[in-house]
Formats: sequence, structure tokens, C-alpha cells
Amino acid sequence: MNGEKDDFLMSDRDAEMMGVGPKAEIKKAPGPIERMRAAYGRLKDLLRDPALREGAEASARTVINTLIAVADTVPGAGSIASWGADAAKMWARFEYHKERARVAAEGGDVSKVKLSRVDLTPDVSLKLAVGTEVFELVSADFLPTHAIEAVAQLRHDLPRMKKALARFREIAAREAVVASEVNEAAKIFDVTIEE
Amino acid sequence: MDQRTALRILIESSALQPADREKMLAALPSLSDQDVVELGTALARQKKDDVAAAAKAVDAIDNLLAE
Repeated sequence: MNGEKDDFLMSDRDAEMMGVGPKAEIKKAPGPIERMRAAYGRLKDLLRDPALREGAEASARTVINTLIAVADTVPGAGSIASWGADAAKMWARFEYHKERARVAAEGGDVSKVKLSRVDLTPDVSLKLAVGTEVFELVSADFLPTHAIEAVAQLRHDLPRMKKALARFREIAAREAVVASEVNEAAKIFDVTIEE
Repeated sequence: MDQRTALRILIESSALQPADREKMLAALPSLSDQDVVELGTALARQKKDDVAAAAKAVDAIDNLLAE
């Protein structure tokens, strides 16, 4: 280091201690927030992949539908969640058709109009979703009817989740090639990443 | 592979913002051998933790789908 040669200039050591030198920059290890930000960025990158995005949406839907189906086992309170999901579905369908009509009237591409994500069972017909509620009335609110549409939706979502996992494995395999280089680099510093 | 090349690979694969990564790579030639070893060891250990955490997450997803 040549900074100590000149008394009027800040030495490299001092600059480093004050956190303004090049070594201070490079030694700044990423903290938990920085790592979380990087992980979030990575997740956003991954979700640009259509298969992974569909799989993630299907997984989120499955979790929410399961929670509603479980809540639906509680007579009274559970029905609020179940009917709430149906009401959201009705609203989503109504908005979807309204938007399609508007786009069609303007001569636009109706295939670009998407159903809102508030519809938690997009592959299940509105008739089935609302129709199953009849059993709720017949069973005096004891039957968790949301489970019926949740299972029907899961039949469509499971292949999406499997496809996403396969895609994830594909990406992971590609990254494994890079990882082998990283493993070699880590070994230089006596750290073994993978056995 | 020499230590500086190894450190460069570890920096390039680190979970840092691209701007920070660029800064680190730019500062790499001015580092002493001891700094290279210290930083390389720290980054390699961090990478080891990240890989272990990612492997656990994939196993958890696998188990969930297998059920």
C-alpha cells in the first residue's frame, strides 16, 4: 500500500477503516436485508418463467382453498368464508365478461383479457361452485362444500404444480454446471460446499 | 485455479445486488493476498449456507407433492 508515503493524503489503511476505501467496499459482507433483497430479486426472476408463475399461482390457490375448506367445517363462521369465495368468483366472472365485451366492442384482442386472481377456482364452473352450496343448506351448514370445488380445482392445479417443479429442476440442473465451478472456487479456500 | 480467480468466481455467483458485485470486482486487483483469503473464505462459507438452505426448500416441496 502506498498511501502511507504521503502524510497529506489519507492512507489506504485509514480509508479502509473509515469505510471509503476499496477494501472496505469489498469486505462489506451482505447482511440479512441485502440477502433477503437478493432472494426476492431471484424469486421475481424465476416468476418471469410462465410455467413457474402458473405453478406458484396454483400452489397459492391450493393453500387458500384448503384453508377455506377447513374453515368451512365450522358451521356458521365457515360459511362466510365459503360464500365469500363464491361471491368473489361471481364478481370476477362478471368483471371478466364485462371487460371482454368492452374490448370486443373496441375491436381489441379479447384473448388478452384475463380472469381476476380473486377467483380461487378459475377452472371450476360458477354453476358447480354455487350449486354445491345447496348441500350446505340441506346439511344445516355442517357439510364443508367448498372442499368439493377445491378438489375439482386441485385436479387442474396439480399438473401445473408438477410442471413447475419439473421446470424448476431444469433450471436447477443448468445452474448446477455453474455450481461445480463455484465448488472448485470454494475448495481453494478450504470450504466444501457439496459432499 | 489461483486464489484471485476463485474469489472472482465466488463474487460473481454471490447473492449481491449487481451494482455491489461490480464494485467488488473492480476493487479485486487492489486487494492483498491476505484480504483475498479472508474474503474468499467468508464468501465460500456463505455460499455453503445458501446451498444448504435451497436444498432443504426443494426437499420440502418434493415431500409435499409426494404426499
